[in-house]
This record gives sequence, C-alpha cells and structure tokens, in this order.
Amino acid sequence: MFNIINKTAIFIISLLVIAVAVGSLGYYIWKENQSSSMPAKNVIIVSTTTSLYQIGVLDDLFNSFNNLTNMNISFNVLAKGSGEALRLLADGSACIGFVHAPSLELQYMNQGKIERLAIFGYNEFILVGPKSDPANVSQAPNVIEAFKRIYEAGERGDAKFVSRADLSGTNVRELQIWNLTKLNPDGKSWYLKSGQGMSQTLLMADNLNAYTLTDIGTYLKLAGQNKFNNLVILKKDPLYLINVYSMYLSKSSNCDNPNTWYIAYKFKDFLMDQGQQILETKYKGLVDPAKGSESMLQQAWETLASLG
Amino acid sequence: MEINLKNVWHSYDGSTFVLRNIDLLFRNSGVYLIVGPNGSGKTTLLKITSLIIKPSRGENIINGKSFWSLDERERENLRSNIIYVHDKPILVRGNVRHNLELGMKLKKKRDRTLIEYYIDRYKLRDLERKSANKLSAGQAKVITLIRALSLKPEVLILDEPFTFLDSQRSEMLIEDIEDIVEKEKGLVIIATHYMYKELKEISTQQIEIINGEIQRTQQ
Amino acid sequence: MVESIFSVTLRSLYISSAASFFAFISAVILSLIASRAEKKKADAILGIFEALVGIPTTAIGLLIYMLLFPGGPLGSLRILYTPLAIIIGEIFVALPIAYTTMFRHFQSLRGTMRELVLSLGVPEKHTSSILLRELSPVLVSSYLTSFSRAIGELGVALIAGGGIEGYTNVLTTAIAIQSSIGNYEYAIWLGLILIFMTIVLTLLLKFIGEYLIWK
Repeated sequence: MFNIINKTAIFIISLLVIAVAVGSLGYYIWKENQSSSMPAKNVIIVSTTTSLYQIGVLDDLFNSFNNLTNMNISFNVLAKGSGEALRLLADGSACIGFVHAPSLELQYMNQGKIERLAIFGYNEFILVGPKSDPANVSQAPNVIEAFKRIYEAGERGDAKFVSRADLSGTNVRELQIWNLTKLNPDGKSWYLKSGQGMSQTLLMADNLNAYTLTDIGTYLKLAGQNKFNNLVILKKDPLYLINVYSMYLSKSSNCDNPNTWYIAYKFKDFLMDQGQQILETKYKGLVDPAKGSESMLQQAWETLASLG
Repeated sequence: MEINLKNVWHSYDGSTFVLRNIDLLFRNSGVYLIVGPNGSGKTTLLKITSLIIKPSRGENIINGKSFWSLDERERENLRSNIIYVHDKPILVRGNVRHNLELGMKLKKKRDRTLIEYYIDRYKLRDLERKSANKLSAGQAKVITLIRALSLKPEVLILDEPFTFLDSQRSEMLIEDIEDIVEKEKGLVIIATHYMYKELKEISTQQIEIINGEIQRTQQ
Repeated sequence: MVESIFSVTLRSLYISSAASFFAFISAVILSLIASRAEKKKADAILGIFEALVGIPTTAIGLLIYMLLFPGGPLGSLRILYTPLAIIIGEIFVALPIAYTTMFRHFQSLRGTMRELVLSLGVPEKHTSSILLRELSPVLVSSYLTSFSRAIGELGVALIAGGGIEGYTNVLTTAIAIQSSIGNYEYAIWLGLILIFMTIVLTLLLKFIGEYLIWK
C-alpha cells in the first residue's frame, strides 16, 4: 500500500514538475520564435515616471511611432519614480527616459550623464485633501500659503499630510514648496511618509483624510474609476505647480551607438510633431502638449530646477 | 582468502581506544566465533576485518598484501569478495524484492536463482512485494542475511545474526553457514551472544574479546 | 493595455522553474560534496547558507543589478532586464533554501549508506546514487520549497528584470506595478493565482511530509 502511494506520488509530482517546466519552456520558445519570425527587432530600454505609464500615453505614442515610421522597435518600459528612472538613465541601464523632476534632471545633466532632447508636455500638480478642508487651503492665495496652513493645522492636530518620500518628481516638488514656506514638517507626527507610488499614496490620503500633492493625471484617472470617497482638488497654482515632462537620452557608453541615437532622435522628432497632436486630441488635461508654450515651459523648468 | 590483523588499534575520537593490540589470523575456510560482552569492541573488530573501517593503527593483511596501502582498484577487487551483515539491518527505500536484489544490482550480476532459492527456503514469498519499512525486526534481519548469502561471498562476516531470528530460521542459517564452509570452502566470521550447540560444533576457533582486548582463543 | 494574466503566469512558471531547477541541482551537488567533508566544515557551510536564507530578495536584486548594469563588472554581457537576469538572481534566492532543507538529511544518511555499500562489497563510489534514491522524497519537497520561494519573490524580478510587459513581467512584478498605479483589481487576480499555486505546492509538501518520508 505504502509502496503504491510512494511510487504514484513521486511519479505524479515529477510529471507535474516536468510538465510545468516543459510547458512553460515550450511556450517561451514558441513566443520567441514568433517574435523572431518578424522583421529584425530593435529593442530599446525606456525608463519612465509611473504617471506617464499609468495614463497610458507612452504605449499609445510608441505604437503610433511604429505605425507611422514602419519601424518595428520594441520599447521595453521600466515604470519607476523619476528619481530611479533618472538613475537608470545615468547608469546606462535605460537609454531613453521620460521624467518630471527638473532639479534632479539638472543635477544629472551637470554631471554629464544625460542629455535633454525635449520638453514635450506638461500638466499640473494639485493639492488634494478631504472635502471638509480643515486647514482651509482652498481659500489660500497660493500654494505656499496653503502649505503653511496645513502645517499650522497639523500642529493643532486638525490635519494630516501624506508625502511620497521617494524622490519622485512629485515628491521633489513637494519638498521644494516646503522649502519655500521655510517650515520643516519632517519628523512631525501629522506628516506621514508613504514611500509608495502616486496611486497608493492618493488612496492612503483618501483613507486617512489627509492632504497630499499629486499630478493631475493620476488623480483624474483614479477619480474617473470612482476610487475616492472623500478626496477632492483643493488648490491649483499655475506658478509653482506646473509639472513639466521632458525626454532624455542617456550619455552612458552603453547607449552611445548610432542605432540608439537614431531611434532616440527619430522618436523625439515624432514626439514633437505628430506626437503633439496625439497629446492635444487624446490626452488634453492629462498631459498637455508643449507646442505653443515652449518659452513658458522652458522658463518654468529653469525656475523649478534652480529651486534645488 | 586469508585475513590477518596485525597489531590493530582503533579509536573513533582519537583518545579512547575501543580496540587494543589485536593480532588475529583468519585462515581460508572455517567458522570463527567472536564472543564477548556488549561494548567490548566486537562490532568494530568485525568492521575492520570486513574492510569497512580503516584501523587507527596496525595492518590488515589480505592474502599477504597490506590492504590499506593498496591502490583503489586493488582494494575494490579484494573488497568485493567480503560481505558484512550489520547487527541492525540496513534496508533501503522500496520493497523487499528490491532490497534482496540490491547487492546484485550494484554488482551488475544477472543470476537471480540463488535469491529465488533462499526466498523459498526462508518462506518469504508473501513478503516479496511488501515495503521495506513495514517489516518486523526479524523479517528485516532475515532479508539482510539472504541478501548477503545470495551473493555467494568468499568471506561472510555476520554481526549478531541470530538476534530477532526464530529458532527454525536460526537452524537454517547455521546449516547454510556450514554449507558455505564445507562446499564452497568459504570463511565465515560471526559475532554472537547465542551459543548454539550446532554452531560450536562447526566452529574452527572461538575468540573472546573483553574491553577491546583479546582474552583468549580456543580451538 | 495590460498583459494577459495567462502569459504572465506562464512566464512566471518558466522563469521560476528554471531558476529553482538550477538552484536545486547545485544544492544537490554541494550537499553531496559537503556531506563527505568534516562535520565542522560542513556545519560552517550550512551556517552560512542558513544566514543567506534571510537576506531580503531586494538586496539580492540590487546586487545582481550592480553586477549587470552597463558600467558593472558583467555589464558587457548585456543581460540586464532579460529573463536570464531574473533566473540568475532567483538562483541565489532559491539556492540557500534548497540547500538548508536537504543538507541535514544528506549528512545523517551518508554514513549509513556508505556502510551499506561497503558491506555488500561494492565500490564506495556507488554511495551517492543510493543516497539520492533514498532521499528522493526529501529532494522533491526541497525542490518544491525552492520553487515556491522563487515564484513568490519580488526584489530580483523587479530590479534585475524590470517588469517589462511582454518580456520580463512576472506575477510578482505585475502585482507590484499594477497596484502602484491603483489597478488593484488586476493585481488581486494575479495575487489569487499566486496564492492558489503556493497553496497547491504547500499541500503537496504536506503530503510528501506525511506519506513519503520514513526513517
């Protein structure tokens, strides 16, 4: 009896293991063959801030680019925070990057690690918080004043603030604004660090009745899916809360080859031409095209970069 | 085969010796009985004799050659003629049949007639397909004994072979031992507590060991 | 926009079965060698592997990244962000688990099996094959444990694999990325698949533990 169980069990388990291994290997080879039967494939690794990935705009742009140019380039997308996305560019782990953290971008540019190809789009950051608005930020004249009010309300125990604390573009901007208020919330009990992506941070703020700074794209995407109970837009500020998206090329030796450069510049040309129309028609309000606002955006970028 | 232990000492931990100054000669063909109380070093002596353990000091001379200074191939050749059966039976995963054939499988021998003969002789036909870990102590012991017998060794070394055996099977075993010595001119060395009359009658020599030293030998 | 759950699951199975297979083979070879070594040495090696079991997979992922990124010592291999990078990293994740779950059995049984082989007058080199056959249930359960560790880890897959859709995206990275963009529903489905597979594996382990291991 035992012997039968023993043998049958080992037999079945080995069968399972072999089936799984062979099956998935077979599938993988099939998949590889399928892709290699297509015309020679160029692979380029792209790092991007999570917000652009989430909005879905990059996939759309890549597909249109391939269709339009009759190229078959496979853009392998790494969705990260801007801090990590820039680090990957500097390392040469990714060759093209789409980010929104001007002060960090400037640092890496000054080190000669990356090169800016274009400012291609923008939207805005917004201050969101509970409907009841305990710190009364909606009545503040600008976002700096609004942050001061949150600080005071926080000290009174009336308000909370969730920070991403991950050196993402959004987090960098938030820290810049705290700098401008000359107040330091770090270490306060009402100042919570999520260490997570924008969506998770927004959901956290919603659950905790807290304020947080977000890019408008991510907020609208989630609001459109009815994910919030209590979180509303409370403050906009065109001067300090503009969110500028730029495209970068890594200057690492890994990306220093004609092929990568060709694709990068070709894509940049597309992005600044037909790409702008795609943004205009399909992503207005999520990511606005840079076309027509070039000098304003360049100026905003420089101001933001210099805020450190 | 002639096995000669010369001035053999053995220690497992490097400080206390379980065997001291052993000089023994096992001549070709015959039954040697080793007796002595528990813990006197019988098992260690048997394992050294059967070339499983290398003694800490002294020599083990097989057919005139010092075994442990031979090269690997010669050692394997000599060793293949010596079969040892443990006091506590060692069986492997699988059924009785597999365990009986284990030695033959490892030695790549084809002829299974002896196994069939012994299965019938010891009335084990019912157990053939039984899993080895479901056996009683006595059944396990018989199986390790048959496994050794069916290999037809020149030298057979048995550690307490009669423990767990009923009297009928003990008698059969003694007959089989007698056969090996009489018909095959083999050498059998047995450590035992049970001094059967029949065993005494066929024995060439009795060796008494106490506290790791040979007390006396008796023809 | 998001990849089908089916292909993510298959890719996960392929990557983690490859990783756990290589980890398992190395663990068996190491165990065979170490079980012949002195007990003190063998215990020291085991101690090191026991300590390695607890290392966060993220740390292993970073280590693999530092080795494989273009400026790293092995950067010229160009395998960062490929399934191979994940497999290599996961070998290091699975190896300590495979080794620690099997080695004690090798150590405790080798002596007995060696004596059995010698007592039958068979060359000592046959010990290993007898030992492996004897330990087969242990080996099966050890393989399954390292497989479930590999399929459930996130750090290596995210940092060395990148979670690229259609290429290196596996169950855990898909869960992480999809939940980071608030797509909890999709992430939950993947999570359920992962839970289902680990439960099936655990049941198999229990079954093996109860019915197959005897001494």
